[in-house]
Amino acid sequence: MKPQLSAFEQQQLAARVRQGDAGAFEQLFRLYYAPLVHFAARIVGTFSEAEEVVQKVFVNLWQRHTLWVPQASVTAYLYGAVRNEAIKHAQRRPPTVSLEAAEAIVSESMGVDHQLFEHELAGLVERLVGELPEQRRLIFSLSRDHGLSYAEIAQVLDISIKTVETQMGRALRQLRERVRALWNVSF
Amino acid sequence: MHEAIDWELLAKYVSGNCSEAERAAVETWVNADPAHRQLLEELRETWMLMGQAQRPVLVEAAWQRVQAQLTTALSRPPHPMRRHRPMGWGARVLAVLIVALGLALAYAEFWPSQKGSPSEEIELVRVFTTQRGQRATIQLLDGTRILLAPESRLEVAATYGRAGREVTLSGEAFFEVASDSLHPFVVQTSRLAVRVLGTAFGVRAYANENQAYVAVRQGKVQVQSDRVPATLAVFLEAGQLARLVGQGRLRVERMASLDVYLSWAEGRLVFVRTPLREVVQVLERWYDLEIELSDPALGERQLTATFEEASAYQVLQIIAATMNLETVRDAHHPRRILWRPASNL
Repeated sequence: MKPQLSAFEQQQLAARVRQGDAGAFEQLFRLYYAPLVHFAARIVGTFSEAEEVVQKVFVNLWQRHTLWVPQASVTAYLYGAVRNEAIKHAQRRPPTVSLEAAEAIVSESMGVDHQLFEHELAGLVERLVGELPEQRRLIFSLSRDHGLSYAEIAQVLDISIKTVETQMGRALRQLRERVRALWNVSF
Repeated sequence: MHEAIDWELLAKYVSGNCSEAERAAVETWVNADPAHRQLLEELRETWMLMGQAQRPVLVEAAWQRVQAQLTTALSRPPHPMRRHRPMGWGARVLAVLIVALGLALAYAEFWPSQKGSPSEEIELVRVFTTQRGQRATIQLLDGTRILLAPESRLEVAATYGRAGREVTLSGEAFFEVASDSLHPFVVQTSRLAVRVLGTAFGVRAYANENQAYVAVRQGKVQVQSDRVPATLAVFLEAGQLARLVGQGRLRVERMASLDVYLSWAEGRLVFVRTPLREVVQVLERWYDLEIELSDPALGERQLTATFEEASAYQVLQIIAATMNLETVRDAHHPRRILWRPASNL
């Protein structure tokens, strides 16, 4: 979930960072780091790569902090920057097998026994949300898990608010049908 | 329902993105028909349900790493950094290199560190962890393959392969080590060190268990415990097992079969006259369960059984049937289970 900062608090924090206030930068990092890593992981696939991506965004931000004037919300800016960096990262990922690749294997480590505890939530949610088409999944997760507004989601993903509305409607409809189907067969 | 449903509007409502007018429209629609109300309730439930579990992120470690990368110094002095250097082969210090973080931490993290030289190079340790109910395969660049058992943690230095081949284990793992006579492969645990050239073997050393052992399927390994001098290290061959007993002494046994110790790596659970309390420990890790025995005396009963890629449900059923137990599931915690003697009516 994104940090609960008002638009005013966000702009204040941004202004302090712009003036070179290291404490404000650290505060920004501590507030946003974990949610941004979760978001980036949805794009790059592994948590270690997601951490790399988010750290890079913050390093870049500090290196150009005097020029930092986030137009809309700080939240939308940071999620957007992480998305861009994550896409770049995914594109230049080396094809060779490396420790990073080994970790991808780890993150796919075997889940156990999905029949018995069908209603055990974490696995079920992961699976059902995972069935959504990629863009729909990202939009849904930004709304549900990160608490971003439609306007923020549109800005982060560089799409229209109308698209967010359409995809959210479809996502919720699809998930509700899948949940119903499962409930009806479970014991 | 025959009429068209405005899913987009309902999604806005449920996700909290409605304007006042839209909210009023939804409420009017809901009040018009009990079926509408029912649908909205279902969508609300779906929304509540579909929050994805967020695993913990280590912000402190990341912050230190970012600080190290910043070329423009922050006004505050950086926190003291953890130091971690590859150990010389001679120094068989058996301390775990890095303070154990606890197995609950769910995933790989970085530890930043600084070298003695003024260079800015950052040395990384990669940490692989499994939780209960998870196993993982780790393939290292030299071809070494490691199967990590549930609730275990393995640390691999970024310099692995360049400056020796050393890993640190807490928990259980099976190793298939690529042969390299110039670079011995070393597994450090809190109480044992295993040194090999190229072989296949399993190590079990959970922090919360008294027992620890090394079982060798192929090749030859050297095992040393933390309480005895290096001269008392033992050599194990294929088919042998070294078990830690008492004051850091190692007892070497030749086993007809190492299946009990190693078959988990092939997806089988093998118990041979294993006390139920130990079976319970394995099942809890393997299937992420909490199993309680109604009477501690039950824990002394012995089980002999082999399970191949079985579901938790099957395993619980079979064991309960074999040992004449009744399985009671906690209605509120689907993974919590009580075993009590079956009431033979």
